[in-house]
Amino acid sequence: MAASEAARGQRIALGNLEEKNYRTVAAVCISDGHVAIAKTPLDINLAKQLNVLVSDVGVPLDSIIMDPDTGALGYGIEYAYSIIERLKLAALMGDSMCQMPIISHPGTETWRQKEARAAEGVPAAWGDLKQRAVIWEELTATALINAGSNLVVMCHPRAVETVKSMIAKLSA
Amino acid sequence: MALTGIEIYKFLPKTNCKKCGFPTCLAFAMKLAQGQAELSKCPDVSEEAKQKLAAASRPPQRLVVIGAGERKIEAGGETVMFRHDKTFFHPAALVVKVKDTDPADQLSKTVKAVADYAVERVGMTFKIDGIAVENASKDAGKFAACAETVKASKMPMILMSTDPAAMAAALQKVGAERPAIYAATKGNIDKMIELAKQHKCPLAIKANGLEELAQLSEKAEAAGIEDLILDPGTRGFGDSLNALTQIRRLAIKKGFRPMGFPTITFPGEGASSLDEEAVRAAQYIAKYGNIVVLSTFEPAMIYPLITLRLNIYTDPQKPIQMSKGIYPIGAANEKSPFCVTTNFSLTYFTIAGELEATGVPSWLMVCDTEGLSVLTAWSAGKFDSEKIAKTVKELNAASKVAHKKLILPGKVAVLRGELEDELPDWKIMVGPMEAMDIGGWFKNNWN
Repeated sequence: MAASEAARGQRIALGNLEEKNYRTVAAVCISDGHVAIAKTPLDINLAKQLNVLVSDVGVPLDSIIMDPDTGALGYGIEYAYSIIERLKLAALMGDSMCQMPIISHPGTETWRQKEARAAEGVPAAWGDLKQRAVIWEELTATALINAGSNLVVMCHPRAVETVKSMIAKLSA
Repeated sequence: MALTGIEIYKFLPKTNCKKCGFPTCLAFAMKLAQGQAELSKCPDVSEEAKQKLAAASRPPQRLVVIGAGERKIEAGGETVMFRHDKTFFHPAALVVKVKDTDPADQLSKTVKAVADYAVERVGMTFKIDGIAVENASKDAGKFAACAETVKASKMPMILMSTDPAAMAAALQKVGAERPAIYAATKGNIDKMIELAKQHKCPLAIKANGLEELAQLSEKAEAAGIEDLILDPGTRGFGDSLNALTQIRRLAIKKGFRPMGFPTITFPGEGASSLDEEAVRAAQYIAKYGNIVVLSTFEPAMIYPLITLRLNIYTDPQKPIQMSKGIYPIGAANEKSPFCVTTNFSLTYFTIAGELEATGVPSWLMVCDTEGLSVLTAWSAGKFDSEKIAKTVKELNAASKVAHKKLILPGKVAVLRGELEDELPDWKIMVGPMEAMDIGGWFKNNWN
């Protein structure tokens, strides 16, 4: 609430609205003019449903972002990947409850994982930790962007650089 | 693309002779359309009809084999645009490229490292699928010698030269191993077609754009080459995404024969860094590249790519499962904590990883829940006190630990009472709700 008020007028993206608490956060989004991030646990039907609920309480359709949840590379990425592809296809076929932009979190999800943290006690076939960890984050982001994610929240500066460069080249 | 009954009927003799076992040619045609009859049952169908019908019932994307034996590459054979439509079938082949200008000792080292590379994930072992040899020297003799060196590794090979003389020289040495010939171009296609026929090897076609690619593909197929590989000539992000998507779409959705073949991609060519090569390769794996030729042998890039490929190519209907068993995490002994979980590989992998990170050696017993996670299995009745108790007895868990304490996942705390009844010799403890809290839980609850 405090953040919402302090940022009034800046149209920030405010998260997370979840099934259990969306009304209160939706209310401040509406009153302070912010964008609502609607988060659901890797379920396409729940994602659609939450969008319906959030828009029903008055958040405009152009002020909702979907967060269908993120799995890191090797830790469930394919679930997020396919849900995002299906949401995008539904959106392009005209389903207005799937047309909100999608946000993914390659940063936080990657850096929780062993592949991004462990230098010792891992096989030589994993390669050098620093290089591997950054690539782990980059690949997580790349896959989800290819699935249709519109916003990726990243951590490592080199991963940011690589992914920004890729996005620019994709759009060229 | 499959023909309808009416379309097939046009090719039949229309005599209603009944020799096929059906009352009319139309009835036979309908059965053929459904795949419930064999064309060979009709003794009077013309050769032309046979060929046309065979062509129409071909798979939309050819499955091309490179190399032979256990490590052969199978590329292509895909049937859908999106994995959620059904599944992807043949994981993109990961190949590492060497050059015939590489110094001899470096070459041997690289070839050995590539051939020996192996990494485990979710209980399966993954290796690099092949080696590409590039004729960077433009010298036929050097190219042939390099190919011969690589042949000794027994890895499937892709020979890269647009000079037919050099390709011929290399094929003399290694043609019997069924390497892929890369590549036929507008300028050399006739000679390359001949070499492909002579040595019975798959032929890759490199074109400038899709129009030229389709023309060259048609030409090669008309000349009798069945195993083609397509390179639309794109080397970036947007252009490749466009071209490779079009190729897949034309094959799958339009049944456009000239594009009905696996694609080959080169993420390292023109990449300004290892990171750029890695993300290009990732895009090609996810979006319609059937063969991915890396310019760099770097485990820190290869292991993540192998993982991404595994994830994208997993059948969405069949999540990877672990086998039932008691797995030691670290140097577990009879005093180590004993945890229980399900056999969904992601669940196992997550909790095993967190257990390892605690530095406390422990046991992790995996129950067979048909690949479902803790909560999903519990709500489906596949992870209950009966299952856990049965597994404890079957696997003789009592022999692993002196303490007889069993740690349940926090999310199924509700099972504790029943489990204590099923296993009176054991003390049932309730672990944390989230795997990542196990370290803290051990500190507070395990001596």
